[in-house]
Amino acid sequence: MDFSTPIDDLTLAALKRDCRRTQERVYRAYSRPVWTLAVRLSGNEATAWDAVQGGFVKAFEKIAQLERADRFGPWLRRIVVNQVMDTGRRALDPLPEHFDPGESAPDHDGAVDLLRALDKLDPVDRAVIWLHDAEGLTHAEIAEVLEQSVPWSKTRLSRARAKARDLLHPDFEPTRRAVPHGQ
Amino acid sequence: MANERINPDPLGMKSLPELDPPEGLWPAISDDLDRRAPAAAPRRGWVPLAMAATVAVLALSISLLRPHGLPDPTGGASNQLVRLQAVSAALESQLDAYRDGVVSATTVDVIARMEQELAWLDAELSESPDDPALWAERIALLGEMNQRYLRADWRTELMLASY
Repeated sequence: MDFSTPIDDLTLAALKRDCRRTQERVYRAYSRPVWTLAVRLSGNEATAWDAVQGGFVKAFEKIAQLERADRFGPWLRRIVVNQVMDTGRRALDPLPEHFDPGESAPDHDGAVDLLRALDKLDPVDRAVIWLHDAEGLTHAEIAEVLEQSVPWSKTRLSRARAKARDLLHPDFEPTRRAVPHGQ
Repeated sequence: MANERINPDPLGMKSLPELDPPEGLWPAISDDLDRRAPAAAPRRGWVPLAMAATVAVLALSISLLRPHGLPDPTGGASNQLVRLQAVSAALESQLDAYRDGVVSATTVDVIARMEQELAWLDAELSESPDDPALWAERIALLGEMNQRYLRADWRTELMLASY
């Protein structure tokens, strides 16, 4: 199950009459991609918890606004992204507390390196790179979700990737490090 | 840059594992939904009525689902289907009685949506008449519809007003 998996019309109708049994079924179906998205975007589980809880509550409360069952996944994703970004703005914490900038021995596990690089990016860079590269959103969709323009999304993605590369391979592509952080 | 146009995930973000949500997340969401819907909470006089209706539906379901006669080892699935259909028919018959009654304007919209859902379910059942999951969904929906009609009955409102 991912965000592109639709719910059926029957499920949407049950959600619209606040059927708790259906709400739980839908939560179970989407909880893994939603949780993964929230953790990757926020960089920590406490923020992710708040965002996911608030996201599902908002989705179930606003479900009457959704007309097409096949749009439920993208609609839910948009709500959760907004929740994460709102929570992140409130927290004003660009670097997660658990992140260890670590001068210790390099970790050769690619996934761990990638996660550390992702965590070290600022929240907006992290959101753009994750939404585009992992979630497969187009620049138009990212621009809509983050209330920005398409050129902004393209530029931001390019910079975010450059920063991530720097963090992953600091000895390579030294010119990339000239890009000012946070712009 | 050219490579990035060809490869939409040059850093391999999709290779990162999907994460399991914490166990307590759904209960927290469910509690939050309950807290935010005070209008939907049962009113004082409602509790015994809702309980009585639930008990009636439950008793009806149990009586219809109880095996009659000797068990048939070869026809278990078929028997289950027949019983589900019987419960569904009994609930629909109860619902028909409510449909002729008067309901308050505030519940018309909810009931109309449920009727649409029932029509959709019946369309699904016409294509898959032997699907027990669909019949179970129909029973659950009919049960909820009966409850809604019962709550919306003007006589119930009158009883509440007399408290």
